[in-house]
Amino acid sequence: MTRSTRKNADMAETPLLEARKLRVEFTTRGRVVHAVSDVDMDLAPGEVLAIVGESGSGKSQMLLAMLGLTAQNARVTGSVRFEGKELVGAPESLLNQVRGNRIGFVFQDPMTSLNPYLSIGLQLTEPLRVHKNMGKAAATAQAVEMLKAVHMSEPEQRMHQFPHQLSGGMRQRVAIAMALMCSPKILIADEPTTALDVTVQAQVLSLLREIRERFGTAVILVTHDLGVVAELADRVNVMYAGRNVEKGTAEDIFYRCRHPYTEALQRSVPQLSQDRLVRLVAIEGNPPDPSALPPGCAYAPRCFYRLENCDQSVPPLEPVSGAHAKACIYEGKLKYQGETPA
Amino acid sequence: MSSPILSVRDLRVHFTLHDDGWLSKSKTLRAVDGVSFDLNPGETLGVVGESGCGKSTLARAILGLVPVTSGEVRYAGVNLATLNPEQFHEQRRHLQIIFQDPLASLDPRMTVGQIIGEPLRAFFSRMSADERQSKVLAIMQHVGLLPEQINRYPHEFSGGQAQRIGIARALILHPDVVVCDEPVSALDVSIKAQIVNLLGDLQSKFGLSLLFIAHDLASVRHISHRVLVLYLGKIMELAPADEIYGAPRHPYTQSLIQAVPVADPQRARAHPAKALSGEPPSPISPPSGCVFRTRCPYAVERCAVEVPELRQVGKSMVACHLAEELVP
Amino acid sequence: MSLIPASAEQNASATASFTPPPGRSLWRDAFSRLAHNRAAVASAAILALIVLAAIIVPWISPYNYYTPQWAQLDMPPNLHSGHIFGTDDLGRDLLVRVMWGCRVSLMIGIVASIVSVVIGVFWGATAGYLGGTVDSIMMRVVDILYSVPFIPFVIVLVVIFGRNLFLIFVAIGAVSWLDIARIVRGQTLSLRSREFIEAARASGVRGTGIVVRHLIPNLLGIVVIYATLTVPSVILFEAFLSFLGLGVQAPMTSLGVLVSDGASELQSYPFLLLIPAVFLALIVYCLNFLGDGLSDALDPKER
Repeated sequence: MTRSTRKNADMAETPLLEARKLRVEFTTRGRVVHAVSDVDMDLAPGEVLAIVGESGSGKSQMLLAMLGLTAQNARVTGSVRFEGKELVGAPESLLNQVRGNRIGFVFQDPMTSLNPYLSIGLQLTEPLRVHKNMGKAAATAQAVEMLKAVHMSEPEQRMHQFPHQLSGGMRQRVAIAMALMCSPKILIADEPTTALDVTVQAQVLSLLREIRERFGTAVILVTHDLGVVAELADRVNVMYAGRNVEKGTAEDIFYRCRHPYTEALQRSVPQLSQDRLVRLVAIEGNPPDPSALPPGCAYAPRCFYRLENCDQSVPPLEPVSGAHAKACIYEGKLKYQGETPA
Repeated sequence: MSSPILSVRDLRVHFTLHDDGWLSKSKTLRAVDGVSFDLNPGETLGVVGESGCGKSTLARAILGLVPVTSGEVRYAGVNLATLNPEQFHEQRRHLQIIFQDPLASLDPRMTVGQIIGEPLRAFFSRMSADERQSKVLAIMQHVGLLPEQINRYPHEFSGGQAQRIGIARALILHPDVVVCDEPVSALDVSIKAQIVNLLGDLQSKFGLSLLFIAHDLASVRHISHRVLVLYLGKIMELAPADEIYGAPRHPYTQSLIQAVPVADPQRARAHPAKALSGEPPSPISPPSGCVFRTRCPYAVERCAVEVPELRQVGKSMVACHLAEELVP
Repeated sequence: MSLIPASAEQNASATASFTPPPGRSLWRDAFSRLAHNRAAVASAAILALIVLAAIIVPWISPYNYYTPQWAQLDMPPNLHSGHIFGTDDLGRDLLVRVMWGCRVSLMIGIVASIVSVVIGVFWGATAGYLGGTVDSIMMRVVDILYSVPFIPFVIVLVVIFGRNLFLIFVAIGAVSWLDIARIVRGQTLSLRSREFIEAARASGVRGTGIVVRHLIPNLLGIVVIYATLTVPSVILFEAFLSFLGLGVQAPMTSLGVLVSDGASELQSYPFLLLIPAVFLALIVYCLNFLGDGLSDALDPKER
């Protein structure tokens, strides 16, 4: 069963996670920072959704907002429904039941996301003790099983070790194991492989694939690495300056992209398979300041296809075909559209 | 063929560690363990390796920022270790470095102009402030910075622009050799290409020889003429860029290439990124014989006993006993 | 061996005469953060007022701090009598004496702090920068001095040299530099391994250049914070010494002496203790708030 047919079958079911008009704003010293603006998102059971963006795109803030983990001075509006329950503005008691239990979270840097003072065993059994009221013995046994599932060598010994005794790749496995302890429906991974070496990254990618096959967990993967997206994602949301500029299946995004930013991103990343003498097509300029966004399309100042009307108003996200949508008024053919970076 | 501008022979950088207090036996961390290569004028030599391979230590050893345990670093034929501090200081102007994290490598209390102009103060103490400023403005223009930015502070810049400041500082003395220590790793995807292109342009404009260190194989390959693959302080393979990717001969090089995820969903489904099993061993207690043997799918008995020599196989230099048998 | 294409040079000299706009330095940022901190600003204002009063009041007042007025002993505070804060047991105007006390306490506080900061910075930066054995030895000296029991030390000094103001400076300075030395050493150690120091070395900057152009400007922040926090502790310390009778000699007074004198009359004339105590507390509080504010303003993590 290919990825796209599975996706179509799943979309018939109710979405597991549904975000509508999600907006995250910070007010610091009189300036308003628009981290996330009017983002819609759907996640079907068992599917892998990749959120692609760079720093300032709002991708991490979006995840934090969904789980009520944003900073004190953040204002979150909009709706995020998980299994029918509204999460935005929900009381801490409800969010605590969801976090770590029904939705697992893996952060980018396992050195800071694992507590350096607690043993691996203590950290792994904590979700079970807190959410499922499990006793120490039962929780320990399950933790060891989970370490085996994430292919950790010598799982029993690892339980007594501390994060600093493990390598980066091993720590990330522990972080993934921790997120999966209560068999969550969704695993959210914020740049899980960015801090890792490429050979270790391949191990973690293979692990994530396996988890999805074995446990049927849906995955929201935030990354800026298009290779990681291609390896894992069923569907992709591309974000720029806090907005969703393009969304669709992985094939839509890679072979039939319609937004200039998506195209530029693909063209600017050197590929091993490319002819190396081809000059990289760089995106000139810099990403916009989220506290001073232009009135029109935020990407327009850097856009190759820029039109006069682009500066007038923010283009809405409009469907192209099926699940594929773009937020761009340019209707013409993109220069490299349809060419995979050969 | 002209002689190499930089010549490294059997370079070793070992650190002694006293982990457990004064009375414990000291351990040796072999960060760089017998590296030899030449850098030719106008060439870009890419250095690829993962964490712990010693690439950053190699960069700093060449520039004299960390002490060399043994081996030679020759610039334009002169052995840098034989120079006294005064003479070494003179040579510094020909060998410069660009660091990975632009904001960490720029003094937050100094303006852009002061940062870029500092090498001029170090070598031309009699230069007037006006002359210094005009040279600073000139180099700023080459790296794409605007003249009115000269009095700004590093924290007022984004990552990519801050890296341009670092590049300007490295180039203001017109060095022959520039070591780039992961210059784009800390930058956003859309900015990486800008900086890689800039480095390529500056290389042809100024006739620089670059040592381009990175863990991102694709960028390294893009800008390099030849590529050096490091693992645990030793060279595994040294070959022209096209050979490294077209016909990698060392098992580690092959694993590195296979592990890179390709930005193409159909291809990724057919050939997903292949993981290399195991973990990199610690540089404190490296495996005997070939350091890669613990993770090598082809390891035989000989690999545990004999350290493979770096030898010519086809167009590449490979350090593997089985190089001829392994078809790339 | 100029490889810069000629046109760029020409452009450069054309632009050399233009004055580029100034940037937003970290000090400006910090100052603006400080200015938004209401407690710090209020403290700074109160301190300024006290300093102003301490300078002006003794000047313009008809009374001085040392002449006894036998007809007006222990008069309570009275706005109309001309003795706004009242008089002490020798009939001296309390307002003037309190203002003199502020002068002396602040002067000792500031001067002793400056001295100890200078010594501490020099000691700590040298130890941190040179590292290794030199660092170990220098820090062991600090450790040993820390363990010297301070009061007996001061008593010995007073017995040998008698009570004089200079001695107070020496005694206090000898102790307060230790904290700063440790802090500066720690900060220097952490700065030393920062990449921009490596970059400076790669650019050809040598030892002294690195210390002067890179280490010191980056140390200033923490030095300013700790200097500001040293002043109140010095003032309190001097007050403590005076309370024990080891401080400034009568008729010269400090807030500590005034508190000490007032304490003995607490039952009958509480204002003699309360008024100087309030000033002492106010000065110390304000300096602490200011130091706190500076610490928040200069802390890079706040960015």
